[in-house]
Amino acid sequence: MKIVLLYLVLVGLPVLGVVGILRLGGRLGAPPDIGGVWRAEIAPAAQLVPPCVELAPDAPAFDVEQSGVHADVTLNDPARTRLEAILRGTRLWGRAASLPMLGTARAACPQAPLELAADFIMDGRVAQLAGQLWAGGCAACAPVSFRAERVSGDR
Amino acid sequence: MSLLILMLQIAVILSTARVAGFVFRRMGQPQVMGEMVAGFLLGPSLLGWAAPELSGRLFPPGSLANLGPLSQVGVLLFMFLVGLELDPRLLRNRGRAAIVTSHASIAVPFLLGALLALHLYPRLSDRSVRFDEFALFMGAAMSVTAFPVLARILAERNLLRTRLGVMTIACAAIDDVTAWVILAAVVALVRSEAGDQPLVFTLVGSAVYVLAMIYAARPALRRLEAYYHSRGRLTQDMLAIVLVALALSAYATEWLGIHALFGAFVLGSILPKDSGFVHELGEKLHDVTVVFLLPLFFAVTGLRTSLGLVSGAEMWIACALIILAAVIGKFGGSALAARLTGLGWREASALGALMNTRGLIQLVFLTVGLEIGVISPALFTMMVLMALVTTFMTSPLVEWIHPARRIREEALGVPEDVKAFTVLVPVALPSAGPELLRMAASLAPSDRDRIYALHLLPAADQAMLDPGRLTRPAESETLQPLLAAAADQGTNVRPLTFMSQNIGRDIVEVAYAKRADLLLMGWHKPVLRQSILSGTIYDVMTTARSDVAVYLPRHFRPWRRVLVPYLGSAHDLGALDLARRIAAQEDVELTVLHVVRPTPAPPPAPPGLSLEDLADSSAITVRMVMSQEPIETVVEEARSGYDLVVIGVSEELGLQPTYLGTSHERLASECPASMLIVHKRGVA
Repeated sequence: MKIVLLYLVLVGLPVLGVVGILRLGGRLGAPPDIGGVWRAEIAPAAQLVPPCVELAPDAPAFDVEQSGVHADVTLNDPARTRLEAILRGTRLWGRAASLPMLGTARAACPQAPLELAADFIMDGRVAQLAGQLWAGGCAACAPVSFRAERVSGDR
Repeated sequence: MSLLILMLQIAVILSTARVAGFVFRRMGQPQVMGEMVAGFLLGPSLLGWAAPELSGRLFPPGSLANLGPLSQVGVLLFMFLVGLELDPRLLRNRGRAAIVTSHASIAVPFLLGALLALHLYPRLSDRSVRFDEFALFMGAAMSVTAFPVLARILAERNLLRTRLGVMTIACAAIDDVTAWVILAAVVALVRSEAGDQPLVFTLVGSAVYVLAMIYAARPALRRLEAYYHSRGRLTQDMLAIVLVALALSAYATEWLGIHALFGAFVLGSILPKDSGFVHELGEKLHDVTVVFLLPLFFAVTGLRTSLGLVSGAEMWIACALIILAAVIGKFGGSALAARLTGLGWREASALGALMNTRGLIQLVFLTVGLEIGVISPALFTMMVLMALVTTFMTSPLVEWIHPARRIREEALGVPEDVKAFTVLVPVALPSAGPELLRMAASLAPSDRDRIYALHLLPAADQAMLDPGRLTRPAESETLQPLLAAAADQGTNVRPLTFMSQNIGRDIVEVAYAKRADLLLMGWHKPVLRQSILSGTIYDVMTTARSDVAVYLPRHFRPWRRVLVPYLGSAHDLGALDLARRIAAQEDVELTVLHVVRPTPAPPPAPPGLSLEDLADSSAITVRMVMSQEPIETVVEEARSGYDLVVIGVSEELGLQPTYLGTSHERLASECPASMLIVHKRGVA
């Protein structure tokens, strides 16, 4: 009898607990899935200054490695610039310590960080990120506006 | 070019793994702990951070396409070996207490893992993973126990056959099987969601697969086992059949959508557990898997583990919570259940500490989770850290709760008669056994005397883990020739076998536990050192609390003429005592050669010797020789027809225990007779 009671307490209760947790957790929300490779359409620059970052044409614009609300965004510029990003709701905010080493804008603003802001949008079943890359506090280069679609997930 | 890079990678990875494994073994940790850490250090967490250019050259992104598949083959073989070592008898008839303990050791950490998932899911997961998949995976990951590492720790501490060992092994086996079944379910769920295989197909297919393995594959493997017995050994064709079966089984489960490694595990577990067949099969595959392929897996895992992903206080707090939940769940849950079902606090705590080890099994688990996307890279890193921490803490914790010395003393028991002359004979080479026995028997000829034959198995070199092989001393292969010779001669010898992490230390401890009067050791030439009295012999001679004698046989004829060179030290007195024991038998002439340096004064009587002492033995002759070259004198004398020279250690004669053993012991190499070199206890 003691063994049966022990089994119910030590095994039965935790199992019930897990069932309860699975039900409770079903209501939890998780950040949107932005991991993977993204191909972007870059809006033509309206200004005469060079873009803050030069993304290679005809190639995926950036890779996103996501861990929940945290993400690493790696651009396909020659320097493979990496931004540390965070998701707040559906908005992605990212920052690299400086402009790409091999970009033309760096000479004008060597200390300016590269920043990213983009909104995650689900267009039907297609995941999109629409946003901008710019150099914080630097007027010598033009922000890069883009609209990106995911071409492959990171699974 | 890719082959060049791959060869370089393999060389670097294997070297690093062996060095790290050696370092961790010296710290009392399992070899696998060092290898796991080596993989971690080769990744972005250390090498990539400290030397990014070197790391980029050694592991360029494209190169993982070669390293990855090799490492996966290693994991498949490893999981096959895990299944091979898993004895289904462990899962049956274990008693109600073991069932409660084993199920509780799964349920409690599972609950904590699922609870933690509530906190981690909104922060470290994303909408591509359902909460139930995430929570089930976290729960299962917390429930995992590294059965191979745990079994090895038990064996090294000589606990396998104790109540604690039996209970722990059973619980770990049940835990592992349960965790893998849950993981299979999670993989099936996730992959069906991703559109790989419909869930119904996976479920039905898995059921068909299991039935096919039990009712078709297992009978076929029994026939293979019968063929093995008819041939008496494992042939290459048999090995090829097993490997083909392994590949097909892994292919089947991968195709069904539940991952290839389940196929490897299941095949290993359904193989007939005839110990000869399983043992030989395991031995053939163990070294190449553990020494060559698994370090590659650790390196690939290390390359995926980046401490840089865990940044900020919030993430480090999450990491700490994971470690805490893992320890409390596994250690606490297992220990509490064991205590409540009848084990004492010490044993229950030791069980909890052992069950808390996660080792390589956890890394395999996590790798699957990362591959199918149910955990993110940052969470993978945190869980890897948890696996390293929990595995690292196991050995010191178990040693603190249940010291190995105490276990051995309990196993050795109290000597029955402390007055009997007791000789302990450590045996390393089977061929040395009979000659050592001959010497031991002549030193301890009476029925009241005791002779113990000790075989210590170096823990790190053990391949397959068969509890029976490790703890049945009478069946120890190394002791077989000695025991056979003892049976022929009618000499009573008591065999002892233990696993050992430090041979010299453990020889001394066993000698003390058995109140040995004499430790009689053999000697075989090592690769690097020249001298006899170095290495393990040095360790034993300098720490033993009994007399130590090293026997160098040069022939197998009876000892009719025995020489004792005597310079007056306490070691010489010890040598003389042993020589007199040998001479007490019939037809033995004992000559004591007292060597003194020439002085103008009349030579003194040999200290410690008087004619009265030797009056009772007309077979003892005492001669005095004056000589400036004692080594020459003794060698010259030994060449005149002596069968055995019994000699105390002596700096003057060039026979001194040394740590590194680079000096050349001229006397030992030039003396034509067999030698017994004696070190008296308590004398420097």
